[in-house]
Amino acid sequence: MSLLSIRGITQRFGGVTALTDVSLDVEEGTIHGLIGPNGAGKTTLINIVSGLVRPTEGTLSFNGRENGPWPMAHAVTLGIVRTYQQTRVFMGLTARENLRIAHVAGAGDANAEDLIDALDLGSSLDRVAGELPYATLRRLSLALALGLRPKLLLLDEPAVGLAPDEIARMAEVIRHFHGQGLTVFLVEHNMRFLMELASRVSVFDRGRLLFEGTPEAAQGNPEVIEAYLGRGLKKHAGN
Amino acid sequence: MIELLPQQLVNGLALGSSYALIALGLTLVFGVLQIPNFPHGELYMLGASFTYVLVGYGVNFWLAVPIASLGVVLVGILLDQVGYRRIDRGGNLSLMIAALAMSTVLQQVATLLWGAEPHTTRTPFTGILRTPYFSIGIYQIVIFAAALLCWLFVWLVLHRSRLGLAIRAMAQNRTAALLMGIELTWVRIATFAIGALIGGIAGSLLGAAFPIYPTMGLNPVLKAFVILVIGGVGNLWGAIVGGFLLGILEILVAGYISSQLQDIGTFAILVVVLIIRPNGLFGRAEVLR
Amino acid sequence: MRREAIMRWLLPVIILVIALAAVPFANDYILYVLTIAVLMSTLAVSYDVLLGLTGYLSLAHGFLYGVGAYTAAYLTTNSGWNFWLAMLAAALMSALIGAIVALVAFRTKGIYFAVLTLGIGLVGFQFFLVLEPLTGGVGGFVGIPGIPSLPGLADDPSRNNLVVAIVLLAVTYFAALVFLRSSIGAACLAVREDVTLAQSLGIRVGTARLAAFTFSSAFAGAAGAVFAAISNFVGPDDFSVMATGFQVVVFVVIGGMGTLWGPILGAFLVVCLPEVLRGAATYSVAIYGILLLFFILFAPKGIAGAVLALRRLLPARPASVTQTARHSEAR
Repeated sequence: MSLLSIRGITQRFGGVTALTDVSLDVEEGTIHGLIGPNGAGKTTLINIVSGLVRPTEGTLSFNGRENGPWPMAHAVTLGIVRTYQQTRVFMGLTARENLRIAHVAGAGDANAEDLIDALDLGSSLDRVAGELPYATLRRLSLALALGLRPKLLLLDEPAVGLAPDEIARMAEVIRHFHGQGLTVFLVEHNMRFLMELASRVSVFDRGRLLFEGTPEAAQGNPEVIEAYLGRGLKKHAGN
Repeated sequence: MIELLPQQLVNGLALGSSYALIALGLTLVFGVLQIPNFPHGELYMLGASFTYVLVGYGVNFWLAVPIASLGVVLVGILLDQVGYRRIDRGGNLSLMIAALAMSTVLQQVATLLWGAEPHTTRTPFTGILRTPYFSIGIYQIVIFAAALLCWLFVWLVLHRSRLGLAIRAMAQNRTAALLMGIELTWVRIATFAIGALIGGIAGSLLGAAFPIYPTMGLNPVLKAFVILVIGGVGNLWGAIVGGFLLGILEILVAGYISSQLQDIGTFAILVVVLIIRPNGLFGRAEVLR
Repeated sequence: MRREAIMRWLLPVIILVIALAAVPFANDYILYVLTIAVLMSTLAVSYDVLLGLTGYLSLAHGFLYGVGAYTAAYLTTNSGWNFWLAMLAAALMSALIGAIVALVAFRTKGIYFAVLTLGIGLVGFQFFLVLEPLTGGVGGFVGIPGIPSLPGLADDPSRNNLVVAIVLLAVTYFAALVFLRSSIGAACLAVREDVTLAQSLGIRVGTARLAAFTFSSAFAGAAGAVFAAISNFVGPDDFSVMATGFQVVVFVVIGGMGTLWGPILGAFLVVCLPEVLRGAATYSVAIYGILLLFFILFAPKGIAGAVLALRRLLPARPASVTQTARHSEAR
C-alpha cells in the first residue's frame, strides 16, 4: 500500500517551471530513491512534500489522508519529517539540548538512548553543536529528524561531503531505522550509496519524471543513461 | 474648524521636517550597514548641546552650526569604531544592546556635563511670515529647507560620487562589494560620518527652537524608527515623505482629536503598520534606490 | 552543561544562605539594599526567560513591572484587599497585559520588536501619568500598606520585607527552571537558535514565544506588587523605559543571558555597586551603560560565562583529558 501519493504536482517560480505534472507513489516500508541531474527538481519536490513550499498545482495524500500538501508544522504531526541539504542543527546548543528539542517537539515517546546509540552521539552529547566535526553534525541533524518519530523521512542528500567510511556508517544508520519500519524518501547524488539502499528509484530530468522502477532497471534504461551520461559527456566534449 | 486646516497642514509640515531630518541619518546607517543606530537620537542631542555651548561662548550661531555638526561627526564615527565594528558578526541582538548601551552613556555624559535641566539657545530666527491663510515661523522654513537640502546632499553623494557608489554597493550586497575590493572600513566611516552630520545639523538647528536636555533625542529617534517603518529602511525619499506624513498626522490628531493623544497616535500608526506589514511598508527591498 | 547544571542549583543556594545569614545581623539600611537587590534579581530572572531563552529584546518590561505595582497598590489601598491576594491579582494583570503586548509585538522581529516594545514602554508610562484616578498621576500613589508580617517577624518590617522578597525570588527562580525544562522551554531555545529549523521540527513557534512573554510578565507583576508594598509609594518614574526597562537588560546581559542564575549575579552587582561606591551615585547610570557595552563587546556570555570558564580552568583538568580520550577513541 502506498504511504505517500504525489498527484499531478506542478511548480512554477515566475517563468521557470521547476516541476511538471509529477505523480509518483512511495510504498510503505520502502527506501525510495530520487535521482536526477542538477536542477531536475528533486529538492523542490522535497520542499513541497514537507510543506515548506506550496505547489502551483497538484495534491498529496499521505497515510490515508487526502488534500495535502500540509503546512510544515502540520506535516510533522502527520509524520512527514525532512532533513536539509545544508547541515542544519541548533548550533549554539549542545547535542543533548538539540535532541531534547526534537524529543519534546515530537510526540515525546522517542527512545533517546536508541537514537544516541544508533547514531553514535554518546561522546558528543555535552559539546556545543557548533564545535562538532562535520560528520557528527550530519548524524546529529539526522537524529533531530528521527527524534520526531516520523513515518516518512525525507532525506535531502544525507551523504553529501562525507568521507567513504562515514558514508557507509550513514547507510547503516538508515538501514537500522528502516528495519524498525521507517519509510524513507531519499534524494542522493552518490549513486552507489543510493543504489545500495533503495529498493525503488524515480529518475527526474528537467522537472519531469523520466523513469520509475528498480535500481537495476534504472541503470539499464537508455533514457536514464542519456539524461545522466549523454548530456554529461556532451558537456565534457564541449569543454 | 476647517478654516484652521491650512494652518494645521503647515504646522504638520514643519513638525514633519524635523522628523524627516532626524530619520534621514538613521535610515542611511540602517540601510547601508544594517545597524540600528539607536544613539542617533543622542547625536541629535549633542548637535543641539554643542551649539548651545558654542553660542554661550559668544560664537555666532551660523558659525556654531557647522562646528557643532563636525563635532557630532567625530562622535558618530567613534560610536561605530568603539561599539559596532567589533560585533558586526555577533548578530542583531548584540548590535541592539550595544546601541542601547551607547545611547545611555551619551545621555549620562551629557547630564554630567550640562545637567538634566532644559536649556535654550537664543534663537536667531524670530520672524513670522503671515499670509491670509496661515502664518509660519522663519525657523520652520529653515528646518523645512534644511531637510530638503540634506536629502539633496545625501542623494548627490550617493549617486554622483565614487564613494557613493561604494556605499550603495555595500548596501545592496556586502559580500559582492567586498569581493570587488571595496573597503568596508571606509564605507563604514563615511556612512556614519554622513549620518551623524545630518543628525548634528538637525540638533543644531532644532535646538534653537526647542529646549535642550540630555534625553531630548529619545522621542525623536523613536519617531524616526516609525518613519523607517512607513518609508522603508534605507529609503531616503521615504524618510522625507514619511517624516512629513507623520508630522501632519500628529498635528491633525492633536488639533482635531486630543493633544494628549499626539504621541499615542504615532504609536498606534506604528502598531497598525507593523501588524499589516511586519517588516515595514516597503521591507528591505527599497534600499537606497 | 554539567557544570552549568551545578551552578544553576548551587548559586541560588549560596545566595539564599548568605542573605538569610545576614538577616539577623544587618542594620536597616543593609537590609533595604539587600531587599532591593533580591527584588531586582526576581525581575532579572523573569526577564531572562524572555531575553535569554527566546532572544527577543523587549523594552517594555519596566512597564509590566509597573502594571503589577499599580494594580497591587490600588487593590490594597483603595479596595482593602489582602496583600497576598493583591500580589496574585497583580501577577495575573501583568500576565494579561503582557500577553496582549506580546500578540502585537511578536508580529515583528529584531530591531522592530525592540522599537515597538520601547514604544509600548513609553506609552505605558504616559498612561501611568494620565490615568490619574487609578495611578495618582505625576504625584504617584501614596500610603500603600506594607507587607503583612510573617510569623516571628511581627515587629521587624525590614527583615520581613527581605524574607518575603527572598521567597518570591525562590519561587520565580524555581518556576523559571521548570519553564526552561518544560517542552515549551525547549521550544523557546529552538526559536532563539533557528526559527526555520524549529518550524520544520513542528515546533509551535508562536505559542512558545507567547508563553515566555506571558510568564515573564506575570513574575514582573508579582515583583511590582512587592515593590509597591515595600516602598509604600509608587510613582511613574520607577517604571520608565530608561529606568527599569533598561536596567533589566543590564542585569541580564552582564549576568549572562539564558543562564537564569547569571542575571541574579548581575542584579546584585548593579544594585550593590553604587551603594558600595557611595560617592559615585551620580555616575551610576553611566556606569551601567559602560558595563553593558563592555560586556556585550568583550564578554557576551556575562559573569556567568566567566564563572564557568574559571571553573573549567581549575578542577576540570583531569575531566577534560578523559573527555578528549573518549573522543579520540570514538573516532
